[in-house]
Amino acid sequence: MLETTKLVVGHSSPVAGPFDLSFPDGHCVMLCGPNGSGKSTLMKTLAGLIPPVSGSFRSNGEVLLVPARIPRVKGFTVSEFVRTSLFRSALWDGSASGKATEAVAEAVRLLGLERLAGKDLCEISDGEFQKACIATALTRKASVIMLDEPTAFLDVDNRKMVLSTLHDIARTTGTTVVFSTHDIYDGEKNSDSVLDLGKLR
Amino acid sequence: MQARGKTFLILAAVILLAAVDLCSGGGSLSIADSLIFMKLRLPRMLSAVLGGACLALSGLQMQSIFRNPLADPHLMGVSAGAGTGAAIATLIAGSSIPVALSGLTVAGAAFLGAAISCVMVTMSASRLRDVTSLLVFGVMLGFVFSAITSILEYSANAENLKVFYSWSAGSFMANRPAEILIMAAALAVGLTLSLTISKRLDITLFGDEYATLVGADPSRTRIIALLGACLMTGAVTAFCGPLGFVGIVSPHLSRTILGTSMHARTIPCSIIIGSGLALAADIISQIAPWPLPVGSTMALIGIPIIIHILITHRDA
Repeated sequence: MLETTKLVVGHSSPVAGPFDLSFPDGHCVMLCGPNGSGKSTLMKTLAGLIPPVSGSFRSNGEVLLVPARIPRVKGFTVSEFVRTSLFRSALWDGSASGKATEAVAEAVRLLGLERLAGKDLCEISDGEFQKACIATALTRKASVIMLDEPTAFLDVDNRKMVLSTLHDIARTTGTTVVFSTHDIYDGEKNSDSVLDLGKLR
Repeated sequence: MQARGKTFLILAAVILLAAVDLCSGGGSLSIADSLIFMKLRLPRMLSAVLGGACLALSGLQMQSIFRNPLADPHLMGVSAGAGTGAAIATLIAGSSIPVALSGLTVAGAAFLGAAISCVMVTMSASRLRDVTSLLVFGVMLGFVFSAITSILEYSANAENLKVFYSWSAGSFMANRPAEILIMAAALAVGLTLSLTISKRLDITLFGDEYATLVGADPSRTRIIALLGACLMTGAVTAFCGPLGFVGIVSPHLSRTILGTSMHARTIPCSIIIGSGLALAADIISQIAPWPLPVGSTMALIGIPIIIHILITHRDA
């Protein structure tokens, strides 16, 4: 669940808003609009990376963001990379190590990456790496997962698979999923509502 | 082979190198010459092992926090700061109060110079939020220190200049037990710091945004890593002179050999490889028929390795 009240976002000066949004649990939301309309800024604000210009927002749990560009580092397997997302839980609580392995395996399975789990990040395709990035958000069982352009590097098949997976995740786990995309056609088919920042202005 | 097996294999090779290093040196030793052994060869071998280890670990951390395969302590102005310190000690203090000029004064001043640049880099790391600005700051700082050193050299007399040059050529010889202990302590602190942040270092490789989002504040990681790296580089540079290449090459070799970039594995392996390279350079310097400064030998070993890495692992 995610609610905003007269939320204005921007880097010190307002870029977009005010938003009065309400996304229930299990809802999959497509965020679209031209470049510069504030999609990334809105997501970064909700993830707590930048403070809101004015207004407020609340959720019933952790709000996570999958950044648009994560560098692909040679020398990490898919599972090792996905596991880095559990830094807080895995590092500070040694007893959670088994649970961490489970969470990683489950995230990897949800995205259909089992076959690639032991492969180096440099040996997989761009699309497969994007899925691994999405898996990093699934391990933490957040209440809201936001993805900045998750389909930007994907081919048609992978794009559809990722978007329908996002939709499934929202439905089956009750997570609120918000993704931004320029791929309006496939995005709309796999979302429960659409927030068009271009039209809002 | 598993990463652990490979690391142990390299460790065995390095121990062998250490033994060879103990046996190399001017003249052959009879058993009665154990004094030479204890006073000269053992400290030299330990200096090489500790020096190589410190530089390799500093280089590994620098490369990770700057996400730059060419980063090493020299790039952040630490060695240049030590150089300026040593230059001030030999060229200014040396000419006004010649009695005070000794190896210890030079080392102390070099350490102070390294410490000053460390403080400046670490302080700027908390102000400058992005990696590139910090890297540029470090390089510029290095140029400033080098400029000061050049000015001092320009106006120094020949005798003092020779003392300064013999420090700056780099050497593992003539290190006292106290100096070796300081290097060992620096390595112990640096290793402890790096092992406690090994997971943070892994995460930093995936970008500042990702690191922030998983709760591993990248600026904090950078400050801790820089602190350890500066401490280790400062100590080694003070006592052994500015030694390049081990810091750049060892992390690359460890990643290539182990096939992983995870710090929990590359930290021990880089350290061992760094010691091995330093020992190899020292052995070559010892058996060379003419006087060969170990700093130059290191460059001669290091450069072919760097070129090989650049050609065969362009995607690394």
